[in-house]
Amino acid sequence: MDVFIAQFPRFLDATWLTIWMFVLVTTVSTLIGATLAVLAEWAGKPVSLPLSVYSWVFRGLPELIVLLGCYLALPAIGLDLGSVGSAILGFTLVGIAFQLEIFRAGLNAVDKRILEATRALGMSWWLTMRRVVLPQVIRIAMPAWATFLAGNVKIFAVASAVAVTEVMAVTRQAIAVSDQPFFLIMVAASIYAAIASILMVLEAVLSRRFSTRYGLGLRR
Amino acid sequence: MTIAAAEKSPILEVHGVVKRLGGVDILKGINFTVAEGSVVAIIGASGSGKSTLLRCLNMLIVPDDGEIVWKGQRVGWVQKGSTWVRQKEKELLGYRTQVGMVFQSFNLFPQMTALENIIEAPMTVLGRKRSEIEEEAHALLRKVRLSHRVKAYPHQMSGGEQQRVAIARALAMKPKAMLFDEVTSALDPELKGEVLTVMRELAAEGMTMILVSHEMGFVRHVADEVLFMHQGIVKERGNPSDVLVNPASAELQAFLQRVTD
Repeated sequence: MDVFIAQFPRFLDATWLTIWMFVLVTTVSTLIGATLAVLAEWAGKPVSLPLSVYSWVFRGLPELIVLLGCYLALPAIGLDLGSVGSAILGFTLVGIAFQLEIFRAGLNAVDKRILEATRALGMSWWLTMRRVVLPQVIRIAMPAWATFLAGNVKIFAVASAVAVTEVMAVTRQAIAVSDQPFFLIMVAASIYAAIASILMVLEAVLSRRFSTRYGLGLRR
Repeated sequence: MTIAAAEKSPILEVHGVVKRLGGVDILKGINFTVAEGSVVAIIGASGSGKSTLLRCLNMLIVPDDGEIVWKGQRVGWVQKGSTWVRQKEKELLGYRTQVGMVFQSFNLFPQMTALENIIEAPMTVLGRKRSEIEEEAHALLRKVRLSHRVKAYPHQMSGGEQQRVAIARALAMKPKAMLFDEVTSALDPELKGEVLTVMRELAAEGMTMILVSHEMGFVRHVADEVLFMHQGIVKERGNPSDVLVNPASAELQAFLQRVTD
């Protein structure tokens, strides 16, 4: 317990670091992934094929390799982002790949016959996207998006491998200066469990809200 | 066709319209005119080009050749100096707001209520005030007998109700003509009637209507002219009480046999 009290401020900082990295990575990768999904869907093969390759590569690679690549390989070509910067870039690159697929699936689930109706009503492409397609995509993609995030937050422990002082790194350092590895691992586990639980509750609430209100009839 | 309708200048003219899709000639030179306030029915077997033709009329499908003329103006082309230039999709939107369309599959916006479906395009495309258009939307829902379904989502409504909302949605743009693409084909027999009733009333009010339909009874009673399409051409045309009763071609005879069975 003493070691926890002594290390408490560092655990707090580490938790905060994990949370803001997670929020930043999620926001950026969601926005970019969703935009790329729209491009992949509407700009044709020359755009969708490279994007498919990108998402295949980055969904397949272990996060650790991507992070080490950003942390160790990029400085070799003159781009040194530091440990936190490398971690954010690495997680974002992987996140974009997953978000791209989540939103692509959402776009595919929208009944394309709706687009004839909007054209017939004189609605422009952008108006159709903004008012008709994207609101549906958000509803369809929401459960998959939330599920991905709830499972994704724990991956941020990998950032400790590139010297980011997030929860896992602080835990290891604390273990090194104490004789209570079991207790400290439990502390780390609780922090991740707490963050993931918040996300899972959010996921459940959002899914239920959308399925009760719009559940059936998204496709006919 | 009534004498009054025949004497009016045509609101829509179709001259030599040709469309190829995937190397197949879907439309091989279609000609007809639609007088203001008249009802033209297009009939024919599936694959005869009916739906493609209807989509050419509001440029959802752009013809490869021929002309669509709306109120004396060529649609889809603008004259720049002495040459004609094709309009882009964006420039066609204004024309489309004048021609309403209703589809076989309803195509309502699933995340919006009946009322929201109706006011969406008037608000966002025509830039009209919400309060103003909401009042009209309520009147339109009354007209299609759905006053009690204002706040219903599409998935909560029957097919017949959805299709009547779709008609109201098209009417909210105050179109000068309406296109109906097999609007009762996806409906159970007992739900077809409520949609056809609304259409019959529209025709009686003098709405110019062009419809693709397999409802021969409806066509016979409501249409001023029937076009029978076969393999991309208009094989027979005329007053429904002539054409449907005394079909000249073997193709129309066979077709009528099939649909009335």
